[in-house]
Amino acid sequence: MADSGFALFQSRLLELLWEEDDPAAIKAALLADDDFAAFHDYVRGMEPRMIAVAGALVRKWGRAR
Amino acid sequence: MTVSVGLSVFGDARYRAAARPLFDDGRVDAIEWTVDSWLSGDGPPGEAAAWLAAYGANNALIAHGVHYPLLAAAPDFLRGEWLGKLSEDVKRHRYQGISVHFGFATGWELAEGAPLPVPRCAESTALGRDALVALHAVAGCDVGIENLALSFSAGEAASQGAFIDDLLSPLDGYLLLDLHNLYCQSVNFGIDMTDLAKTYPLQRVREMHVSGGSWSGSNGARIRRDTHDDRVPNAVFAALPALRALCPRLEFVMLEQLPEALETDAQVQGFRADYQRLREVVHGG
Repeated sequence: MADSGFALFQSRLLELLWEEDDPAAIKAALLADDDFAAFHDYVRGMEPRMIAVAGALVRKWGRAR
Repeated sequence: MTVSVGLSVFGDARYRAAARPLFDDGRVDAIEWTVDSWLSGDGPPGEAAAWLAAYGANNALIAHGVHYPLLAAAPDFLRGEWLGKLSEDVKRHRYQGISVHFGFATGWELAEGAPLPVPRCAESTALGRDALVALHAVAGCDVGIENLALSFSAGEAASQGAFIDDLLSPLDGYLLLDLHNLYCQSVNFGIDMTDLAKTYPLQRVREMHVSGGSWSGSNGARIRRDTHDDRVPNAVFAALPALRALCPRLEFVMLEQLPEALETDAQVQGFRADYQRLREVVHGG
């Protein structure tokens, strides 16, 4: 199976949701990374208000290794 | 098919105190046990253990896992650890099936979290199918997936059902349709609840969850959240009969509420009232 960068995308998304409050900055960071080109359409569709909710969930329930 | 109405039970003393009269009155047809409560303790306390034994013997016990990393790409060791614990659990309990959450919560530096949406691609589909096969091999019973309350876009909300169907197809798994999660997606994206339900593989539904939640504000917008800490909305009760009619394999309808939301007498009475209302909606009185 071709590597679309899926694992790296998930990892980067979690990191950004944990560390970055601004949904626009999260989208911009993901769209600026060519490693995630396969997911850029998906990222463009992400609504800022839902990114904010996801960030709140990650920071509330996330536990480090 | 006869539909059993029951409770998603917890070993917590507050939960047992609130639910005990419902058991004593014979109003609980079936129960669901959250198997990975092992993360917060050594197992169910005596009273809850007795419920699990009795309902298991009566083919009325179904399992649910909150933390199984179904679609998490990186931490394969977490999946192995989880399945190792499940292998011990299934020696003690007789489940009619086990469901897990759609989504991913772990990766990067996090080993635990809340489930988030996953883009549908060849890798995520293969990952989820393999994880379900591994779950099935250990559980030894039917496996299912619960729909997620959160999506990043309306398009993702409307396509989650097809993704879940794709994951379930190889094993002919079942859908746990969480009506409050469906309600969250419905109100957050302005999609009619029944229309949204029809985008899911309703012929696969064996179980439904009914619960309450809360609202949160974000950028001036109200977002419905799946927090299991309040009364069941009228809209969820209202949608249930029509949705039930669309689910020919439905067997279990379970009320979910967190023990943390059963602190006051008003909360306990509300929980019991919601359960009675659920029985009346499903059983007709």
